[in-house]
Amino acid sequence: MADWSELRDYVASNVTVTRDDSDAIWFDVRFKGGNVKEVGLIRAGELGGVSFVRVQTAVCPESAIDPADALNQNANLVVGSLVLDSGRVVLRQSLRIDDLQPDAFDEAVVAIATVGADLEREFGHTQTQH
Amino acid sequence: MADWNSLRTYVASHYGVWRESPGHWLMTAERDSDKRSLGILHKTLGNGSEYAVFQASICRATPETARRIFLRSGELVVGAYVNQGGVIMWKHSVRLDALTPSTLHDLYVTAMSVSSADAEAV
Repeated sequence: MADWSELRDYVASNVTVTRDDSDAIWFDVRFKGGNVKEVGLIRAGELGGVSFVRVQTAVCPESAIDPADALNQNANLVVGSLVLDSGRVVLRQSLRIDDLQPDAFDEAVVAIATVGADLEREFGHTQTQH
Repeated sequence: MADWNSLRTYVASHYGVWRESPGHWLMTAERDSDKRSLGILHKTLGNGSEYAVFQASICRATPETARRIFLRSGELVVGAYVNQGGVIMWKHSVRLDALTPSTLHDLYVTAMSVSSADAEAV
């Protein structure tokens, strides 16, 4: 992907966007069986002149997990980590935009949605059933 | 990098490997006069995709430091925090086939700056 606009266009052409603003878009990842998990693609800013995006999904309220447990859990995750975002714990993976290949992006989205749904169940919440 | 061996070879020739544990696929790189270390672990997803997981130590894990650092976790542009065996580390994973030498260098610089700043703040 060349930039944020191209990545947005790629997402919009492949999934149904549920929420959209200038720096973030949200969409549902649908699992076999009908469950869905909402995933967000959020512009993360630049680091060293390189632009990044975050692929993230909600897991639980801040109060539902001990910070030490969240940090321990992160040791087991290959893609994504639990972080605190505006009072909610989310599973997040940062991706560099300029050399991001579609298959690598798709893989990150599926991993975040799948693991995020597992963690959401583990911490006492259920997925949305559509 | 085409695969883990390519990454090992590149890191060994450009950064120097001063500790390696084949059983855990752990390398630690350092460059020039910078004595800080960066661990690189080899992980594989269930679908077979290979990842390099970068980790840089920040401080010893205690209940107090865990809470403080988790509260700050959302501020990072790249990576997150992890408790790895009693040590809080900065962590970021990259799919191996997307990892270029320039990305590797950028991650090295990022890891060093993040771990240094956070060690002072905690």
